[in-house]
Amino acid sequence: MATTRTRLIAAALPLLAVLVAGCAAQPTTPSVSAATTPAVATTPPLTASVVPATGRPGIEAPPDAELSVEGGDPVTGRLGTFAWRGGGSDSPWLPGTPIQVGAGETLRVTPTPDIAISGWSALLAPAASTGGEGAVNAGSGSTAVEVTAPGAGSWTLAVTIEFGDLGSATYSWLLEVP
Amino acid sequence: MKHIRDRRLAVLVSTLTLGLSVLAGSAVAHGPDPFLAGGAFGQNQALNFSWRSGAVPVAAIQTAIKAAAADVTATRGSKAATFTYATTGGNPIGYGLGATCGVNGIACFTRTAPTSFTMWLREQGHVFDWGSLKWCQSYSVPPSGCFDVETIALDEFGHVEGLGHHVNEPDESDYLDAVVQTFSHAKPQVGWNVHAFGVCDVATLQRVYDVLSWSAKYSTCNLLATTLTVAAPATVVYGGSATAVATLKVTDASAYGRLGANPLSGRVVTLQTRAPGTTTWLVAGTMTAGATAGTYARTLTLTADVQVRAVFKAPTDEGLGGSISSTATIDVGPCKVAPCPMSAPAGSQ
Repeated sequence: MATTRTRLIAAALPLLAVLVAGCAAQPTTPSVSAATTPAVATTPPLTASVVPATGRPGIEAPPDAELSVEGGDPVTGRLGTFAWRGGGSDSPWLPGTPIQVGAGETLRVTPTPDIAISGWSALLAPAASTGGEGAVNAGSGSTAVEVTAPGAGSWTLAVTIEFGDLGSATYSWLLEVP
Repeated sequence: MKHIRDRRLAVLVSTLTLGLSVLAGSAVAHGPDPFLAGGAFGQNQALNFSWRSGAVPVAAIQTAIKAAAADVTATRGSKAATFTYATTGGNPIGYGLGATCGVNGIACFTRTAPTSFTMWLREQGHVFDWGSLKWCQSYSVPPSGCFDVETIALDEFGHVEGLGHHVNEPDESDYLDAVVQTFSHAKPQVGWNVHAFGVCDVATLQRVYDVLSWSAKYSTCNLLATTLTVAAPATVVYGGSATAVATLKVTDASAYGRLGANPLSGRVVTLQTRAPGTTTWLVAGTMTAGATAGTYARTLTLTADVQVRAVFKAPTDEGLGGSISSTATIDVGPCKVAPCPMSAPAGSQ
């Protein structure tokens, strides 16, 4: 099981990277490997934001989703494709927000703000796979989102959550499992 | 496409034994696409679009979006709304920096059924924190990792119609069953340049908007039971003719949306006969199109009592289950023993 301190560091990495990118003149390589996405032509500057540009999470746009493990700080997932209140946005398979977890730990995903979940499904793929090839079903349900962490390695976890008539959204995390 | 065969079997089983409760078309894995909240546009509603002022796509992108609109009309398989470019079109499609998509979105839409919609595509080269956007149409030789504008625009048009993201098998082995997908694919991933709605897109469009005609094919992603009835005269004189008329419909189930109780024309329905008291059915022949939609007829010349039934075998090229009608009995009479007046000559039996 990862220590709390390790998790804090992992959770802080994206924020630190954003700050570095914002202060530096040169583009910074993202903390998530560019090799995990099929669309990358160049190493882009990091302008990380996990909230949609179009409105407040949970109101004009889908809520954020936080992944947490016991004893660790939650990490907000990267929002990808969603349909929300008469609109929507499409994305490819995305590299996720990094978080370090222990093998076999229970990963809990909760929307923020807390909006009722009507269904969810999770896919897990090796982080090195492009476009999610090799993804396997990591769980599904209609209430609380809980996924068991995989074995050692780097994995992309993509969780699609249904919010009843409000819509649905997909969030991604990069699971680093020592 | 093993799941299609499985569903067809399920339809048959449920038709015979389980009733309709198992046929509900909810958004399950590799089933018809879910439908978004907010209602539908009108049947065959013509929606005109134009380029958003200040965000006009470059020529190659325009061409691809117009092609996607044509793809909708060509492959909707239903009375779903159509999209046509018009300089005065009231529904703007924009391209570029003003896109209101999610921060990681390459394209997006809004829909206000049944009145209007909008669509945006990010500009070529847009920098995300996961990469920079490449539209295939921006290159003479589309590079690996580019997204096909026509495919992505078709996905967005599908959303405007009301289609939600198809629920794939985890390994995405059924990715080609739908264009409206959670994860947009780039070249050379499976389906990166598909220019037609998939069967599971069409299945939902058919449920919501109805099929184009009574003889149109039903999507193989659908799961529709059928109902077959047969009517025949109760009696006929010895040596006289009796016409059996079968009626084939989609079973009337609320889960089928507009498709419930649709008459089914242009299908193959056969008539079977047997002598009362026996168990073996014999094929009398294929029934021909009847006088009204969904009806089929076949005339028999009878010298003995007979039982008839109609049979519709599940077709392999559309999403309909097979069905068998109940049995109708035709008595030859009232004279049963020769010589009968106006019937067989004495000694012919």
